[in-house]
Amino acid sequence: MSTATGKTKKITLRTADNQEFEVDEAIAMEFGTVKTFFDENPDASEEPIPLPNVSSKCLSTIIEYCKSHLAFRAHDSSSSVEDEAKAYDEDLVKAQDNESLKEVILAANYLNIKGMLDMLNQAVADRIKNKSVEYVRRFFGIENDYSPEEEAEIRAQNEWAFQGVDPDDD
Amino acid sequence: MTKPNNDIPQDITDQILPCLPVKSLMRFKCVSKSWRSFINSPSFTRNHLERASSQEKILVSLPCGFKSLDLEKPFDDEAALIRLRFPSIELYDRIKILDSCNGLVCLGLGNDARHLFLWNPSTGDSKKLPECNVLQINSNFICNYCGFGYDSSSDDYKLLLKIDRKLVIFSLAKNSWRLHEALWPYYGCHTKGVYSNGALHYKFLFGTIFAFDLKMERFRFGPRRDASMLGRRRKLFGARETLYCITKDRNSMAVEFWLMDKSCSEESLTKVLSFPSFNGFCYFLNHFLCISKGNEFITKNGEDIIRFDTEGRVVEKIRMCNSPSWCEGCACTLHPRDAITYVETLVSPNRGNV
Repeated sequence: MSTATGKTKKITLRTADNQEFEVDEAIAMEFGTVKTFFDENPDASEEPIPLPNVSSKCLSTIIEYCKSHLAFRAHDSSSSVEDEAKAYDEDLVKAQDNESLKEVILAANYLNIKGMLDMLNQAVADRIKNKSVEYVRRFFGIENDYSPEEEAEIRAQNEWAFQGVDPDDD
Repeated sequence: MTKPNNDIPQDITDQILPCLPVKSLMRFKCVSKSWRSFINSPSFTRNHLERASSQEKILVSLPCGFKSLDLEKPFDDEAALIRLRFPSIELYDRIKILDSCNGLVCLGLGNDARHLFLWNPSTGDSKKLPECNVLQINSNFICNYCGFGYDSSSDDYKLLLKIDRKLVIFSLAKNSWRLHEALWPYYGCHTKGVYSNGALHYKFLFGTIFAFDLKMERFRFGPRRDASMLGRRRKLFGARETLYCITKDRNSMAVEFWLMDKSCSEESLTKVLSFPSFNGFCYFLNHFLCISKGNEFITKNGEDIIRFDTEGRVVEKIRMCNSPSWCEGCACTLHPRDAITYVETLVSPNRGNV
């Protein structure tokens, strides 16, 4: 359906937990998957788009992110706007615990939002960089496939890399 | 609703790992065998290197050892400076930092700096190069040393020596020296090559700039410059994939940064920055280290490391051997303090190393 003149077109998204979100077209187009869908189906009906892999909590975080960054980009690029955007990103990430952060990354990956994904990848890296090996295994759900002897050998080889690591407190 | 499975798929993990610093990556090889193979893979090293290239640090050689200065913090911040490990350092009484490329630092150890080492300060990996068996090196080795750089076409690091006008090339991949067919183009040209974009660049008389292409192993000459560039004090400076030429305009006395493309020609120069000259410009030129992320210039002047802003004003300055965190009470004051920029990468001087 073509856009009505002068009115912002809205697109409806339906999350995994059956909540519907109505967003401006500009914001929905930030989602690579949605954009591709409309590029390939220009005459798509106005039915809500199902997002079976995204929870409502995640989607609202993501929508807020895209809204804010669209607004930042609308300003002339200056270092103060850049600082503001950076501060926004940091606050957003800080508010997420590990499980929520992982959920948001999976959602951003599914929705193919490159800018947000790059930011989140760096945010996870920053969160884990000083953590122990055990913490990282838990975070990524990875099983240790080293034998105790093999693991001891690797630790000994790079002993310096194991110094100054944050203690595990969770 | 059942709890969603939040295990992160491999392709996302693969995007997170390159964002990590070297120390974390070395530790996380212990997470699992597949993480270790992934981190050790050459493609990961290359990917990580590209991201790391924008974060330069300064390597300083002090009598009490090597230290690394983090340019993103103020110089007097205690966390800005960390000690580095270099094996067998006590065997040599003098150390000269010759060059750095992609996180590999080239060191000349011993009295005449002739014992060559390649060292990655971030991983601690080091390799002593075999002695040059192709030609006899002069007693003043520093005059022989011509440069160190990376050839992406063969994924090889090459080191260049000039003995009289004969050229000797060391290939890290082959771990051997080779006498090159061509002669060095000019007599009396003693500059160390500036690496950028797969070639080593040299400046010579009358504004000539020529380059040694590391892939083709051939010289490339820029055209003779016209009189407008004559007489300007110039410095070539390679930053990642770009080559800069820093000059002082004869009329306005402004300091100018020019970007130069591969042809090394006058026409290819584009002025990118200009600011009024300032006291100490000569030192700025001689020991220019790098442009930091905040668009500040870092240089070394004798014992000091100095941070300038784009207006040429000194933002901060630190004397390398003056504060306790820099130098732990070593008495030697005759030892030269070398400083060079480097990046933190996983590149290993020992090929086939895990």
